[in-house]
Amino acid sequence: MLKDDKYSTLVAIFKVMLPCLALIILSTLFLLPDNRTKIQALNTIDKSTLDIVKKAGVNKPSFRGTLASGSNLELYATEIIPKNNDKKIIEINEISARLELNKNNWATASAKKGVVNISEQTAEMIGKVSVKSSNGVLIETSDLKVFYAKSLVKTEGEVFMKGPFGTITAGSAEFYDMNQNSGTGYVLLFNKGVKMQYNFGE
Amino acid sequence: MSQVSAGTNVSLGSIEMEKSGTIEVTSDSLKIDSNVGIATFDGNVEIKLNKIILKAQKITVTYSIDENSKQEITEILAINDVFFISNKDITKADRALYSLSDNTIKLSGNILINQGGTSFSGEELSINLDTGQGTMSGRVKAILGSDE
Repeated sequence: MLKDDKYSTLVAIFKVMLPCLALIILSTLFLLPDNRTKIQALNTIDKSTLDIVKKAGVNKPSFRGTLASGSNLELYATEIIPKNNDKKIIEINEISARLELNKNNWATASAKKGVVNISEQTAEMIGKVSVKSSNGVLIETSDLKVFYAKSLVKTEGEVFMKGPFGTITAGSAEFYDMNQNSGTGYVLLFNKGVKMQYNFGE
Repeated sequence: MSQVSAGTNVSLGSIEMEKSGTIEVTSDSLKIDSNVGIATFDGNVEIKLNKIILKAQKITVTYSIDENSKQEITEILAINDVFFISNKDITKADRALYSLSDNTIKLSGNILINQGGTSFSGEELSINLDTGQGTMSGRVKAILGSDE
């Protein structure tokens, strides 16, 4: 029979490794909203936002106000350029924005370029995309596309996330709603190679 | 070589937990599905904590959310080519289930524990991590060797 100290080593491995794995997963879960939380913002990008973008067409445009959804939005850019005659595709250069759902919940975003495609119901940020949220999460990626009619957000390129959970690097990422009818059932998917790091303790 | 009867009870000493460190997880993909409360690391999963490594082809973590939105891990399941590696010590199994409610781990399928020249094989190993008490069942075989 194996000596007690041999088993002790095995038990020590389990005792150390498994709770730590639970810890890292638990700390990551808060990236997802509670299943009972219904995300309204993704269902329709506020029409007033699109109106602002469509009408701007000027150098150094800025907007600060309250959307129909009740959220406060600040939007800055160096340029807004409608790309076709019916203004269905709009390019926005050097975009930065702050969306405030309420005093405690906000997010800021910036990118070299933004593209809103009203026909396809997509909003894309391209080049040095950076998103910060009030819960301490920083997301950096080369591109971020919001399919706002489908409750789908995805990156094609590498994504880096930093927050209370530590850091996550992945080849690509997707966030979507499995059950759009109920508005619940959120899925966060990291693909093309995932690396998570979490520092714990003293 | 010696045979050990099925249902053998072993007394395991307690050891202090790591108080600090970095845990690193790599895998081909990670899916966190709040609909079913499962996070899945899929493909070449490797978890490193200081000198301890856990490898498996897939690791699923099941969690629950209570009425106050408190999230709690209930179990962790590692399947296919499961290895726990610490220095020269290797424990291998087809499946490892860690249940947080009773703080037990159950290894099953082609278990091989190799520590310092001594190896121990069997079909099922259940360990209570609170007491350190473990039970090996199925056909158990021990090969005793030196630490060198």
